[in-house]
Amino acid sequence: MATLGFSTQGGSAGSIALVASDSCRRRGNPWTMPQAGNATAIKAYLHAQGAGSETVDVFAAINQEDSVSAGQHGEVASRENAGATLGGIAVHTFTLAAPAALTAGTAYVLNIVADGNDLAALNVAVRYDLDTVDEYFNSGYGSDYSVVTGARSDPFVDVATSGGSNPKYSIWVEYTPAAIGLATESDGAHGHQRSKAKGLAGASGADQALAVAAIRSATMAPAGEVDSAFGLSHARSAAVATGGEQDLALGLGSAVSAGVGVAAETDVAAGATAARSRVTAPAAELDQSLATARGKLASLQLASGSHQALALVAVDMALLPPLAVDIGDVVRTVTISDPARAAIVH
Amino acid sequence: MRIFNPETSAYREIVAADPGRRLEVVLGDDRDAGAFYPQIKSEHFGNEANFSMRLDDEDAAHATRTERGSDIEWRRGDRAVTFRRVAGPDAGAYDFEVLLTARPPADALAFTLRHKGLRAVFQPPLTASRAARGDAQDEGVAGSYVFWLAGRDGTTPSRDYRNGKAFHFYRPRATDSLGRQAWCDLMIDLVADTMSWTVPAAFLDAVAWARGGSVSIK
Repeated sequence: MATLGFSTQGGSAGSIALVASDSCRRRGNPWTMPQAGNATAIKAYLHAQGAGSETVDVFAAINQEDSVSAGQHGEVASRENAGATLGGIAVHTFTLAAPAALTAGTAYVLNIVADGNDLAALNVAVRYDLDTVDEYFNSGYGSDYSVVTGARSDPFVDVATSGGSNPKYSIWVEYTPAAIGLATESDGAHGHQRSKAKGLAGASGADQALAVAAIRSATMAPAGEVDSAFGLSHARSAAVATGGEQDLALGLGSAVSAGVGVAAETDVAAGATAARSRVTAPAAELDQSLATARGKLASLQLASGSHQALALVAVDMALLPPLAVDIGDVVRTVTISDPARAAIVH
Repeated sequence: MRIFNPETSAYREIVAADPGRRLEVVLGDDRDAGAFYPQIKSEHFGNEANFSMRLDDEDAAHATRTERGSDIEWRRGDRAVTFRRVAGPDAGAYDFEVLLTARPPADALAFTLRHKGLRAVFQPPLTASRAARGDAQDEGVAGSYVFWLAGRDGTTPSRDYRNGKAFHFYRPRATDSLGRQAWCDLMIDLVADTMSWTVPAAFLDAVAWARGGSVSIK
């Protein structure tokens, strides 16, 4: 599960409902998705400011920044927690009724508001720290919570920074990276991997076969389809490999062979080999290993195309278990997020 | 668990093992085994970023090190530093408490800094417009700094940086032996690698130093 937004508790509090005026404040920041994904929940550090607790309706939403027009942000998803009990400072979860698709490279305003009419004694706030970020805010609807929580595209306005900084609200989205078992996304992944294979045209047959084996496990396409699509006779030898682990081993073997190349390629292979030992490690160590490997990939610009592709396949497959689940993420990362990889596959 | 390494004359503790927020703290200078220094270093996100601060002292190496329960104390002359693990909103925190038993010649305590991969954003007191919006700050936030992981403001597929907040450096407050308190001015300069805690002169002047008065600042 990945997150988008600021998921640490801020040291300040921005009211989203005020007891004295029964009014509401809608607050949020825009964040750009680093990869495609399906949002499942919005979370926020909420604060009932004082002793005791409040029972209040709280509304959280994801709006796509400027999606309708400049200053008009269409709602992508929202959830109201009616009658939520807030006491002290705590994380509150707004589980979406259905996953909401979020697009890589697109900015979404994560925002929240509460109904001031519900309050008995305490203001209710969302936590924040100041930083150099954009902020959206609106208090213009007064106590009319029902208007604010409609599926509006103009629930707030961009706020100019004060002293070079704005509140960065402790609001975030939990999402699952896209292309996990969804037919359309698997199809897309398959297509991307075919493109990657085309980049291997100059590699030796053995290396092509290894790479194709890895690609097949990535796309889960039938063997015949892979073979015919790429026209690689060596792919048939790779077809004897069964199961994710064998394919994974083939991919890693390619990376090791890349290690006999120039220094940059050796580094990449070393990263992949190190990653291999992490396959059964806890997720945290995998994350660290992935970060290291990706860092090494950055030095790969001058390596030959075939070695780049082989090493990338190996690194990705080694680092993102369980294999069948995360393949879509690998593909998406290859084609969208990483310029070095984009250069290889196109 | 906090472990003292006699080969480095420093303590090391894993404060948070969560890989997304892994935090280790070093008390003392683990690169100078010659003595125990009034220094704390925090290593964030698997040491992608770190921050260390040392109380500027003309003879820091000739001090005593004492373990008092779970606290660690550095003491030389009329100054002492206590490292104390405290609860915090996230993974927990450390107090760096300076105790003065004689009036210092200057109102400001000076520190030297070392850091990597961080940027600091000052948290000023609320403006009138923000106060009117219903904003509020916790104690010690006005005049504090938030340290963000430089260049890691978003989340990446490889690691969840949680938008990169490394830690919060709260504004220090002085308390004298009679319980009177005053906020200090905190100034952090990551270019000059310096930090100062300035205690109000009038507050220091009012302490009955000759009769055993003292001031702790944290």
